[in-house]
Amino acid sequence: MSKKTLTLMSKDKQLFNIEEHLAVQSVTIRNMVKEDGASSVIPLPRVDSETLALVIEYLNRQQAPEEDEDYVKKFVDERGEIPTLLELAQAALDLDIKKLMDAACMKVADLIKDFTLEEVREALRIENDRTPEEEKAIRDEFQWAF
Amino acid sequence: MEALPVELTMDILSRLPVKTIIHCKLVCNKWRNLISDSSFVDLHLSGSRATSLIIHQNVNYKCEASIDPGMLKWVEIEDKVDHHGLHYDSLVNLDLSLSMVPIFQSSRISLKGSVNGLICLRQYSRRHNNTCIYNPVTREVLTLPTSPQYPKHISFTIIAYGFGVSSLTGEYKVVRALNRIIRLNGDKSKMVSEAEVYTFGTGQWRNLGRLPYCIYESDVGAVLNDHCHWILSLAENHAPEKIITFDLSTEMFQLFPSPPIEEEEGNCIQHLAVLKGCLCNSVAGDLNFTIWVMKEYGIKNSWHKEVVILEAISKWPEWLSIDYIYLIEGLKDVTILSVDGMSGSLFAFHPRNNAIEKIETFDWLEGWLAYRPSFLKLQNFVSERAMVLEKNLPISWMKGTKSFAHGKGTSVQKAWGSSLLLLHQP
Repeated sequence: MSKKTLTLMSKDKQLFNIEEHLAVQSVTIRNMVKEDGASSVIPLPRVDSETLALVIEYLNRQQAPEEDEDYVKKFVDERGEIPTLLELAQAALDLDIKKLMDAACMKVADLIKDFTLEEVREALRIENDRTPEEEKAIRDEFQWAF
Repeated sequence: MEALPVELTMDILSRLPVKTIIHCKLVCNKWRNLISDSSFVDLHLSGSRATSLIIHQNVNYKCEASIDPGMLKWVEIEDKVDHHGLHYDSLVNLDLSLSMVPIFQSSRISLKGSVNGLICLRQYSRRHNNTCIYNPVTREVLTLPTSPQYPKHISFTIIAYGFGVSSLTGEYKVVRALNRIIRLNGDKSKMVSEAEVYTFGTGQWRNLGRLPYCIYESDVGAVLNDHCHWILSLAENHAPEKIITFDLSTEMFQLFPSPPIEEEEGNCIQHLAVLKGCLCNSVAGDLNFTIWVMKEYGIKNSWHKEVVILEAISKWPEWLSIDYIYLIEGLKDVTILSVDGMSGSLFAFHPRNNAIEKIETFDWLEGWLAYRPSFLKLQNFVSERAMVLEKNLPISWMKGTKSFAHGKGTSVQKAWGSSLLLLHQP
């Protein structure tokens, strides 16, 4: 019996094939398969092809269960760029792949924990909308931490 | 890249050290609001983070007449694979004796438990007999009402405390058992334990009556699976089990399966602790120190001798007296942290290679607790009167504080609390 294959489509309309028994590590895909058999293409409108390729690589891993933990860590370590990690975390969130999301978020946290505020804003593309008064109020409230 | 979804932002933030999270409040308004949100507080609580300890130091702790509350220090243990170190933070000391922290002045305190980042303290003196709850992160303190049964002027020996939260009801409870001697017929007398419980938000202690067994001296209840656990008094040698539990939901006391300790060891000093999610029972014998671990909660047969440290092994420091060893915490690589209450030394046991490593010595050590910092606000308990230790602390106020110098790290002495108590009325 040949293994059933699913097709995933990225935001930029690229198609990726993956065996169903591997794809269902994603709770989102598992639920879709359960509901309607997911015979056709599964669209992932928020995941770009580069990130989807990474997710597919992760889902296709051939790891013994006891080595899985280390594998996931290494997998995200090798993609240590914050924008890539955030895209990966976002895709893992949408696809509900908890281990991958945990590892990606942990890696981002590790990377930003020694950043200055400005570096955090830059890395995560956040605009500073604080007034000096608001900033002072927080510094006063948690004076021990500064 | 589009803006990060709230879920991811919260997840990433919750994995940062507490201080960094506070700094992140300054990043933008959205982050400030997220971090104050109760769902973030819960997410942060549910994650596992670096191991912290609360250390209570008091220069005068051996003097019974002293009314010096001493100082609380929050330290983090760095968990490296082959080495453990203490991470000192210069601002995480609270000198309770400062006149700027009047709530604890002229009294003694002792640590009685910690859950979800909240610390339970007993405050006592001739004039005080209070139970206080303190969150070092939000710097809030609340004093529970006094129990009408045990008025301030009578000095009862409070022998056992437990502090936990019921996962069924979400209620925070402090339970305590008090020993008293009752006269029987003739010259005979007997020691009995009586218990009372305080549920946050109720405003009063409730008497739970006399316990079927007496609890052993002043141990802090080990809290696991919605139950507080204590060892029975040595006088209860006929009890079929030597551990008693308090169910934080049903408020029932019950005997609980204890490890199969040999009879001759039964009179040794024992303590309970929770290490890596398992109930542990330490036994300090004449020649060795044993740690029993209950692998499966509630299953008598699952008690297992995890560590036996022979006094004779060469790495055991000769000045260490095993009678005073308490287990505090289990670290990732199966390392067990313990403290020697006599010398104030903090140790790491490495069961895999049977090695002992001394991490640090705390002078004037009076108490200690394993601690997980949290952003849980005491002000959330609306009917309790939570107070915030004042925010602005001029540098000059720090000069008069006692110096607890340590060799490693940057333990610059600074006070944490300060002058005024802002009363937040419900």
